[in-house]
Amino acid sequence: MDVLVNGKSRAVQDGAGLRMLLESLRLPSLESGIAVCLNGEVVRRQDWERTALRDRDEVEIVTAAQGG
Amino acid sequence: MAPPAAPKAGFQIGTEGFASRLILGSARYPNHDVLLRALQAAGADLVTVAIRRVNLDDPTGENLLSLLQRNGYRLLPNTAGCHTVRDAVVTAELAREALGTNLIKLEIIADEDTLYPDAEKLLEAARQLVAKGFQVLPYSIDDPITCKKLEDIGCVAVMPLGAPIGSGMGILNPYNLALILDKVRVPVIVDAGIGTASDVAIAMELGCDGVLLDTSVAHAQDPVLMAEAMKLACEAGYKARQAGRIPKKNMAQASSPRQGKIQIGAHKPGAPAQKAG
Repeated sequence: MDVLVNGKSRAVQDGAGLRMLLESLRLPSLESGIAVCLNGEVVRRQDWERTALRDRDEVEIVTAAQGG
Repeated sequence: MAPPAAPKAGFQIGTEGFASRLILGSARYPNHDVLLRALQAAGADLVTVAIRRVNLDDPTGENLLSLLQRNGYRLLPNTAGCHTVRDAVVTAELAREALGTNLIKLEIIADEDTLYPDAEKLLEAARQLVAKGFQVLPYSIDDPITCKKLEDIGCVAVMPLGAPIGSGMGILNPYNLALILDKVRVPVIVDAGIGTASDVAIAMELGCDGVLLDTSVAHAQDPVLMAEAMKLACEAGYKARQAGRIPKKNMAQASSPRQGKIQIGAHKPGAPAQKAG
């Protein structure tokens, strides 16, 4: 299936969960410093493991950036 | 290396205490090295950051967040770029989840030319965020009525602009700031429009509790030197306020006393002194 991750389409395994997707992205840390939004709703860290993904889901992964 | 011991906190915002009354933004610096040196020169404790997508093409690239945290800075995430209440609320939730702080600088912009806050949406977003347990610092117009409403909603501070973001025009309406200071009890932090050090001193002399600035330092010709100037101005303005200034008067008032002044009388200059006898 395909999901949108930070605005770009990405092929993921059918039945893949959110945590699995995040682990595949080689982020420097999953423990802190990032947050995730699925279809416009924030998914808390403790819920990543049990959050399933569906075709055409929209995932946003954010962190702190320069800002005033 | 262990972070330095927290300095004595004289500036209280909600449940959080800070030693410095100067809050710096992290935007518009030429590079991270200059940013870090400017933050140090400013003596800032609290630094604002935006919430943006992780760069998935280079996820392990230079990391602002770890840089700031390693150097002991505390973070004030903002909702910059949000035009709707929903965007702002979701961004705040993401910020809390990512950074582990419930402080949020709430900004919802109505107009791209002036970057003026949308007061109506600001009030609604503030209500929702306060209800969700955030400590909200709203970037607001310098209107005492809106600021009072924000306080009544439960914001932990109000942040009226001095002038539009990045404009460098300084404190355009000190009268309004004085009205806000009179009306609200929460900390008043001037946010936006600062141009140079004297603007910071003016804000603090008026009685403001703090100043938030970014462009005035980041785009100065020497950001690190300007950061130091801002720090000194903030301290000078705060102390001048505490010291209690003299009132302004229309007429002059001689500072030297009249008592003990010599009398020259009718003697002509250069005439010989009269002989005794």
